[in-house]
Amino acid sequence: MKATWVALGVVGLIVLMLLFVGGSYVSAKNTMVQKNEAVTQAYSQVDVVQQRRLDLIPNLVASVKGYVGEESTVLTNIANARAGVLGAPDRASSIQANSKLDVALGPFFRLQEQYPNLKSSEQFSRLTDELAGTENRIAVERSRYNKTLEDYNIYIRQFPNSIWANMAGFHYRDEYFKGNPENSTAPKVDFSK
Amino acid sequence: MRWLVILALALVPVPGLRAEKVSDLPSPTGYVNDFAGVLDPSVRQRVEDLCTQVDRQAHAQIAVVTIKTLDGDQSIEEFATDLEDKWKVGAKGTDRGVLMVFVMTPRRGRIEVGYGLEGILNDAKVGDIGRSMVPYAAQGDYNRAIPLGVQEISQVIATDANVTLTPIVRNDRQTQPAPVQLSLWQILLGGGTILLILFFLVKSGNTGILWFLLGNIMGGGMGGRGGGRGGGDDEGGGGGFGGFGGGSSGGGGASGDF
Repeated sequence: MKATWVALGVVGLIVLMLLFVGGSYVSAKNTMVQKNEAVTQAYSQVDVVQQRRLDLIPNLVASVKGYVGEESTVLTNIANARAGVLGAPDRASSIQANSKLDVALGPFFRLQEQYPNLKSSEQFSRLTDELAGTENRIAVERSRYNKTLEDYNIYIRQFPNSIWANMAGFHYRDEYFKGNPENSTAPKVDFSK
Repeated sequence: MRWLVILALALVPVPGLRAEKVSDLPSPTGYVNDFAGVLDPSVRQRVEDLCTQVDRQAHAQIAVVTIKTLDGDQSIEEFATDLEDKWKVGAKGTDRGVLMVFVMTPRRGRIEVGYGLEGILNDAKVGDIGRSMVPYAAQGDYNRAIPLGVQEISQVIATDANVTLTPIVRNDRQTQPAPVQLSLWQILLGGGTILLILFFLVKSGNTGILWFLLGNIMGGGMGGRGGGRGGGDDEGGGGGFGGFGGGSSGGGGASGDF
């Protein structure tokens, strides 16, 4: 009689544990789906503003061509970097190509110093506004995307979610937007020249 | 246990250290938040009235913020985005909000446009508006620059929404009533009358009425002040500011030096 009760108790305990584990799995998986979707959504937002930049570049190039001449390396670099973004097959390479475009666009804002005529061009200053606004939008959306991705990555790496994530096929995603690697080395200033 | 407490104490200030200046700013008291103190009260009131009109009729919110300086290496763009995340200018869902930030040192301004207004206030247009304010702002004449910018922005919004706004008068015409000027003669006469009434009240033994009146005046004054605070508008008049909605922006707009 006593043995039956013990057996029943053990069975009850196992059932309870299974319920607990199952519940934990289900709720963790649902959260992972949600967070994964949030990352995708945040990235598409980044994509939208990056696309906006791509569309803007031909106008920009056209507006300054008359001032700086076709052979300007600044414009060539921008055109090449833009082509790189358009040809990027997946997200990781698109992120890389876009950061190359970031670098290529840098000197564009300094063109005014080289070509003073540009300063008086109203069309140029408005296009610069658009480009600067777009760059800022990209920065904002990228940092929001990075935050969302961080949230996802932290969640799936924590115990016990890490076990459930493996079972459900959610993996760590190293798809962050990182700063320009060239910026991490201090610029060399040579005063002797 | 004690270690836990010490650990907790050591950990708590960490988020505080990273705090942006945005987190130190008090919550908005109106559409115009002149933290740098560069606007005349009358100008502030006129801009406030205009923003109220835009909010009521065109359902878009304009926030004007002036601050003295930015925190460390934070750029004005980051400041504007952070502030928009905190204040949420514009209504939730429509995101029709504009945030104008003016920094005094170094002189720099930014007009941040919410998602919902990016279509009509594109960066180039906002940049033009910013540039039109530069001549005045560069001279430190914010009483002229800020109403000008707000008026241009609200004009764009109003035209799009098909409403007409009463323009704010930009010249030096006084819209607020002149402060009450009492001549010495009037003060003597008024004071004398009050003294006379007091004298008679005390003489006739009616000090009860005296205390009653005194209580009324004090109570009324206190009540009035409390009401003013509650309305969030110490300047009086205007009113109508019911806090910002739940708008958001994605870094659109333009900034520039002045």
